[in-house]
Amino acid sequence: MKTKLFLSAIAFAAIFGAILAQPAAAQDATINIVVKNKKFDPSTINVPADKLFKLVVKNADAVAMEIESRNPRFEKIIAPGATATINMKPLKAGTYSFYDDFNKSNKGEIVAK
Amino acid sequence: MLAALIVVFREVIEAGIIVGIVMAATASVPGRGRWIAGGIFAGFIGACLVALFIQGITEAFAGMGQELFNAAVLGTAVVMLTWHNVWMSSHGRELATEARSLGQSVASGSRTLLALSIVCGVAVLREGSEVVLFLYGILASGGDSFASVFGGGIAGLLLGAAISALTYLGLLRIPGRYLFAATSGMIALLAAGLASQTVAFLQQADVLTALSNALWDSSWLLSDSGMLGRVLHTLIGYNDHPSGMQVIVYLAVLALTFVLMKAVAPARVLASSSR
Repeated sequence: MKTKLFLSAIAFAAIFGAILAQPAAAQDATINIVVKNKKFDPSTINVPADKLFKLVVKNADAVAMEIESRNPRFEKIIAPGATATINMKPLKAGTYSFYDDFNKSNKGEIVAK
Repeated sequence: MLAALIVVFREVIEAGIIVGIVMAATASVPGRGRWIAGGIFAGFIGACLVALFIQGITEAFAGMGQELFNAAVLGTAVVMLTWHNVWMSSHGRELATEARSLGQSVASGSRTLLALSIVCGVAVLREGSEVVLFLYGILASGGDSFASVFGGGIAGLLLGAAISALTYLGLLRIPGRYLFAATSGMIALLAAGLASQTVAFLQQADVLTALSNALWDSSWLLSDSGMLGRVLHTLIGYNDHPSGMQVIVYLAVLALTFVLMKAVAPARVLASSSR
């Protein structure tokens, strides 16, 4: 009984270990966005399709915000005055929307060409 | 007030459902109320601490601290839920059926109550920190009065508690002899769904890169951001465009739980259930 629980713990550790052992991918372009007065600037971002990139978002407001997107899926809380990086996967050509989850009227889009 | 109510309610749906399932799953374990309430309270304190230190958390691990923190928190819940299922499969029926002394049951039940108390704490902690930051943001921007935000927040929390109660009472309507199987199944699905969310955060952190493309897109059929989609997202881990790795880990957790539960179930229980 104890042994089986111990083995299950090992199995979990092995799964998470295998997951963590994956090498991080190299990154390409960096896109900078500033949030000021509860608006993304720029609110439309152009990126090449099928390429890795990073979103670097600076929150210049005095309150926290959360940049979020359903597809591609990402979410990140950004403290007042802080800057956060989001690793983006290659996007197929198309338009993708993102928003501030703490202030839904603040929206932006990513155009991949 | 309405903004605060809506946001708080939206964020507490998941925690509400989880607490309801946990209450039903421990219906036969004495002293569970204190443990679960303790877990919720600890989760609330933790949420305030996370909100306070959000910048430090975000900047940790080369800027991927938030993703890794979320993954660790969710991963903990997955392990605790799975452990509970396995533990209940070897001890649960004794607790429910055998006339043991109360003190003994409390002593042996407290181990799994600790695991589930952690699960409730984690459920509150996860979304709680967002609620705290959001409400603080409304107050700081001066739009609403403290009383209005506080009132909206409390109303949202009460609605979340109502969801817990509905989940719990709904599950208790299941006849006693099926309740164990039903709650075990729900906890396994819950754990698999949370494991899939863990994978999403590891993928966002670029820690996990294999099979990160979406396997399908069923958002046209049922969006996981709508009300029904959100509830199913919590209950069975529904995701409208899961990555290949998310699906693999989801299935692996279900399979592992099933195998472990079979492996530790006492033989006489198997014999009596086949009668």
